[in-house]
Amino acid sequence: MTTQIAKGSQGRPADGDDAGPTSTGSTTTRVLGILTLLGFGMLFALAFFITPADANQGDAVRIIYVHVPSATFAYTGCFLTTLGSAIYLWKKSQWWELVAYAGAEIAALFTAVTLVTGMLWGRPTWGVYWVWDARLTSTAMLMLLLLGYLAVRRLPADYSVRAKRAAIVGLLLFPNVIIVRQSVTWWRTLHQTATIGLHTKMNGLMLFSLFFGFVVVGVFFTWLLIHRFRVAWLEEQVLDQGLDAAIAERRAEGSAATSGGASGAGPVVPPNLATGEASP
Amino acid sequence: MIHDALLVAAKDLRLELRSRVAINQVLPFALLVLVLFAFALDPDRGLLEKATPGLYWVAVLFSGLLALQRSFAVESADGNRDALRLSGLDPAGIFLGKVLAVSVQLLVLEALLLAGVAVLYSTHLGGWPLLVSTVVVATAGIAAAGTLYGVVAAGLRVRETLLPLLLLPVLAPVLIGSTRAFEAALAGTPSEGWPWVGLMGVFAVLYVVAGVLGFGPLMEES
Amino acid sequence: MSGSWPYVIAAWIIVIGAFLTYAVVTILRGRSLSKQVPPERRRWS
Repeated sequence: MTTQIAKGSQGRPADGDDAGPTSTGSTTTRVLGILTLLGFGMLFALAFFITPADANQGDAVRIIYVHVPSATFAYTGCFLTTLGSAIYLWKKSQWWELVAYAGAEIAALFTAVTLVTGMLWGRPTWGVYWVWDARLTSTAMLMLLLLGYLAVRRLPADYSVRAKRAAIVGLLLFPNVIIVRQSVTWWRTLHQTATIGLHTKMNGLMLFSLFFGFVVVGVFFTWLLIHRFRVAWLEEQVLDQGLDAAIAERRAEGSAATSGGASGAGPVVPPNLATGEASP
Repeated sequence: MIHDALLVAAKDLRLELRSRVAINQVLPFALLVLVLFAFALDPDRGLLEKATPGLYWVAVLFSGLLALQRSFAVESADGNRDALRLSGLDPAGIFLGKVLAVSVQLLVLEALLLAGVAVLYSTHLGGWPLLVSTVVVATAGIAAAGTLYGVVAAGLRVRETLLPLLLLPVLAPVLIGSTRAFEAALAGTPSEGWPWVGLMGVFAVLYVVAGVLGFGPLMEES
Repeated sequence: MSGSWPYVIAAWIIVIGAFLTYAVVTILRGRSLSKQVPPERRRWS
């Protein structure tokens, strides 16, 4: 864990001086990466050794410190996707389109982690891996909605086709999440099934651990978002280069003249990217 | 816009009347689904009757998906998409027209399926005001969301597999709502069903608005 | 409730494993893609 990332961060500055960076790392991400590693170590210690078992949930509460923050940032990523898609459709900003894509993929990762940890929490607590609780069901639906967005975004088609169609799906992602959540909540409550929440009495140290979990997962989320954004940017650049250079250049001229070249058809670097940090 | 919508809807329905794909293929498929449910669940234990609302709406969703695929297959052939774009019709009108045409087909399908469950599952139908409102609102929601996601998937090689993945999770609230409302209607407790009709109404309005606003940009692309 | 320890450990292994795998894959993809893109289009450090 430590070696993989640390090795990478040491390798970068030397060969990145003249020719630009040879990876998606930068000073910001290196700092965030180190904070993530330290934070996860600390969170692990807090969750396993420092905090006590819960009166109701027993040791299963130790999953909560990473489960709840993952869920929160899954929704954050999902929100970023809708925000990015909306701004892309409005301003035709490729920067925001890539934020939307990066946000969705990371949200899918976090949702998967949330579901798995939730099931592993549920087994010792409820006796089963899955109950048709409103929260679980709507998280599963969130996963499916995200997979739909990613399927559209990864279509083998022109950037403008992929991006525009994905942006429509992305724009509706968050409203869908809200309406699905609402319907699922009603569905369960009308049947008088007790919603099984995270009823627990957390003492000060446990609350601090949970809060610390939010911070660590948040830093990790930001780190991932920046890297994933840059990878997405590079992917589009590589795809562009596949086109004949002359045609690409013409297109760039043409689109620069008409629409400001935001469709990403040519080597027009969006101004933000020159200094570009993906600061959400 | 309304004029354009009626024009497109009339075109689609005329096409449907002539080709009879919905009647000859989608409707038999829907009935087939009803029969398959009887095979899957033991018909002698009253399970079918108890599960009628759910089975009915699942059958509607699956056969509605076929009708939607059909509605866009019609457009993708022979560069119709370009022709439609060049026709100078208001994109919002095109969207509403397609929604209207799909809705009409779905309503016919739903009426026949309702007769189907009444006969095959010996379900006693009742609570008509709620039943009819549910059908109307759910149909509007399915048609509006289906048309919007249909055009997202249209013209792609993967459209047959992409549309269900996009659409079915989105339609989850409609499936939940319509099933609960049907249950309430059949159980004679309509007051429990009306909130669901409201939720589906919000859903339908959301998708009609999104479609009216989003159809223009989607049609523009090359 | 000492019986919940296996689940706790499994959950943490999965979390760390998933996060780490995704992070490493993202970094490696970024490196291999960087080589294919001229430097003037990837200035962010």
